[in-house]
Amino acid sequence: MHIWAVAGGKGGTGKSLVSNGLGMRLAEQGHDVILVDTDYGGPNQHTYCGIRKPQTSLAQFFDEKLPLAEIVQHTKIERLRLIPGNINSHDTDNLNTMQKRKLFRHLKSLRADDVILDLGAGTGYDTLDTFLQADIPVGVIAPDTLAIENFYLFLKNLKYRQLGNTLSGLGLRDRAKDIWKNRREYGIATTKEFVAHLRTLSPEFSERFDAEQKKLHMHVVLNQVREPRQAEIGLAVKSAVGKFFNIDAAYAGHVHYDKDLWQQFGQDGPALHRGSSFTLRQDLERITEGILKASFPEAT
Amino acid sequence: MEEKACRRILEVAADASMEDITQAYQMLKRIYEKEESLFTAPSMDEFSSEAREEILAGIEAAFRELVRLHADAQPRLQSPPAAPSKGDLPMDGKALRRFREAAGVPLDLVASRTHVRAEHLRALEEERYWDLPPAAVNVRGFLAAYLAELGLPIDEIAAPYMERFQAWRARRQR
Repeated sequence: MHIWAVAGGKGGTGKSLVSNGLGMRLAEQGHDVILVDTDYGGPNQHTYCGIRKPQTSLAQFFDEKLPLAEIVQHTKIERLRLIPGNINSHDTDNLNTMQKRKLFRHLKSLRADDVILDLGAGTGYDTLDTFLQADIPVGVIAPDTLAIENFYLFLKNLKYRQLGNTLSGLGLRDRAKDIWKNRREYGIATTKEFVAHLRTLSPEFSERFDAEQKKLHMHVVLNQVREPRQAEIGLAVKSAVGKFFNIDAAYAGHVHYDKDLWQQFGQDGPALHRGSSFTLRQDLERITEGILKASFPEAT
Repeated sequence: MEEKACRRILEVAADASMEDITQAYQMLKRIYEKEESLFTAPSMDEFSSEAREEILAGIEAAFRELVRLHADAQPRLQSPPAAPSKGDLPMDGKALRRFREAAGVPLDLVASRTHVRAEHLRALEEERYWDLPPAAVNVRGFLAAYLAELGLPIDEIAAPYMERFQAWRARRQR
């Protein structure tokens, strides 16, 4: 089973749309797919799937301890199932880390070929950890400075989180924190110098951190393309991910902006159903193929 | 630098052709040469001008290395072509092709070394002006690169060649 994680920093770039498109395409190809709406603060995967009133939701997993297998719902698309977000809970966005970790553990035991996690905006630890642990991490951006800036912030946090996790795993976290706090005394100004210092401190850290860094990879999707000249932005960001952040990235392609998509919601049936948004669906199919075809020789 | 590392820097596949590599190189230059590109986040330390210059230097070095490796991998000329005698000049397209073939230089080799597409070079040799770019300056540029690659005198050959090209163009416009 493959766990996909769709994230990207800023809200409104199209994470839900891309998650949904991936799910539809994979299901069409004969995969058993489960979409999971882990956008706790803004769940709407059920609306994409055309389910007006979900009968079950993640709230039952968190509040009533119901097993995930009992929450999974069928959609109108064959082989595509959904775990809706916790819509009817009072405290949607304040789940604690323990709860979210528990969810990730349980997701692994679901019976499906692909589990697609539609992660929310932001750079919370759980979002970062899920992205780091996913088999297929997908970053969604839009061609504007705001989205791109937030995406880079997401990457930066991802790298810090990875560093923190590596240090915790070796019991070095507190010591490292202390060094960072007193970095002036150590002659450290940048993260790069900080890592260099930690390397001299512990060869074990150096080894483990390199291994973790090598594993980090992602697919980049550019959404909301309105003009042909915007397409190169996707390639440029993909390139910058590798060159400025040292993360192995593959460009999955771009998705055109669909000005009529809003009309597809709230109707009985999936928003991306046959007969609607032809270009959009074609783009999402191309993206899915692009992701499945990409390889990361360094990461494996 | 190893070939694999160079290809990684230029973000091209292991089987990318020299033309793909050149295109990738040009795009990367376009991306990283301007500081105020849309895709950068100037507020972040990661995007310092030093970092950008380091990346550009890496791209430049990787491309130069790949061009060198590619040229080395090409079949070498057994002996450099003998210079044409004064009586042979000026040479038309047909004569140029005869000269190139006698020297044992494949057209693809000239194409990869000059970065002029083989179809254009073939059109030059066959004086199929209509298959060449419309601007005389481009045709003259292709021809000069071709002649330089074969070690032929540029002015003596290019001047009458371009006269023929211009005459054809004037006829066509009438």
